[in-house]
Amino acid sequence: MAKSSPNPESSQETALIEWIFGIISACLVLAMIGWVCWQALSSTGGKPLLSIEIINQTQQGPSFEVEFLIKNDGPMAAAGVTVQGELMANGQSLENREVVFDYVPAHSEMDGVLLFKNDPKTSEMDIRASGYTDP
Amino acid sequence: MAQASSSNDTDRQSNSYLIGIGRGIGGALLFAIPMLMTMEMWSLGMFMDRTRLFILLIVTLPLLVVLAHRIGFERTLSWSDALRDACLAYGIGIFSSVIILTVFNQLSPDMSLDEIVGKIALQSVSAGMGALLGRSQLGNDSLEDDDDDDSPTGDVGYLDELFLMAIGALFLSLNIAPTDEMIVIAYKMTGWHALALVVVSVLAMHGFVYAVCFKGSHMLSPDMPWWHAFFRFTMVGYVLALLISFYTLWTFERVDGVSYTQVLYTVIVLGLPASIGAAAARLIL
Repeated sequence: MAKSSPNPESSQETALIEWIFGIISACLVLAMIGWVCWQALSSTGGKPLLSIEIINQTQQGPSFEVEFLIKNDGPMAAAGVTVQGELMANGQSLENREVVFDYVPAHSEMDGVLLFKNDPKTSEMDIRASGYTDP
Repeated sequence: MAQASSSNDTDRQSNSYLIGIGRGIGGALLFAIPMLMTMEMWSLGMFMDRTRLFILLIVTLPLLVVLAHRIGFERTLSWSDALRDACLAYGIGIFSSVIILTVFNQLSPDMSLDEIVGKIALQSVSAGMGALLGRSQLGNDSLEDDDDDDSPTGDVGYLDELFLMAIGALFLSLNIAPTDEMIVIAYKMTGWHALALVVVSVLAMHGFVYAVCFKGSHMLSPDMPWWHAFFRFTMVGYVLALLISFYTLWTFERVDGVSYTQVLYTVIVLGLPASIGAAAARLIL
């Protein structure tokens, strides 16, 4: 095509880089579509699968911090996930604390903290997700 | 006599400069009001990661300079003028954000300085872009003598075109990425919905520029097959839109700890407005 052509959409001199970008982009989009397609085919539906892992316990001033990870190993996101922590001594409940996560996405993890008045190391601690809604 | 006319000229010049600033404020309000009135933006300004905020603020400056170079307050030609205009627009963005946030009682003396600065800084990005866009979109061209004849609406290089698409995508995704709706939509979608959304985004993007012939549309020469422009512009633009969607989601801490697939779905969701923004930028800017 003529070099004098002013329209970038019809000049071939500059087209090489355009084609390189174009082909790389098309490959990326195709790869993405392939991945999503595979996800769509392999997902069988299901429910959130929540679990809690305690990762750290520290004392901050008057309160005891228990830092935890909430994991969702299920294929669906959970919304409004309430995590409750209970401290017990001799079978009696000492205190209850709870925190709410707006969302815990599928196959993902979020971290959170519960603050207790009593030292969780000297008592029995139970932390679990106590409920969720569909997003 | 000559003195009188030259002072008249100065008056007119400073007048048109003030009008330019007024349009900048108008543009900042017009384009940033959705963000200024979004709850998530207030809380993000308060707690978002300061490194990411810093990166966003730094990235904004060169974008504003390039925008100013194309559509600045005074049709600037030199890069130093563009830098001056970009700083002015950023300043107008900060000014407008302070006014509006104060009126909304989102800034008060009992807040920490960090919170106040964070809230203003976050808003100033899109308000600054809005200030520049206001100059170009709200302007009454008859006031601008005849220098619009050589305004850069004609041919732009390929990389310039990509840059404009990136700015358009960034602007729209910055507006929408902070909202909870992005992740809620992504969480509710199945893979098939995501695939359909990819198709819709690409079609919207291509259609916006080529098919429906908006003002400033890029007409294809009849001897060129449609897929030439599709690969060279639409595909590249869509990937750019997705990358920028990811960047804004990362900036607003929407991807931390989230699985790859969920992140991808969220990016695809935000990719719809981003690709429309990218396509529109090619027409408008």
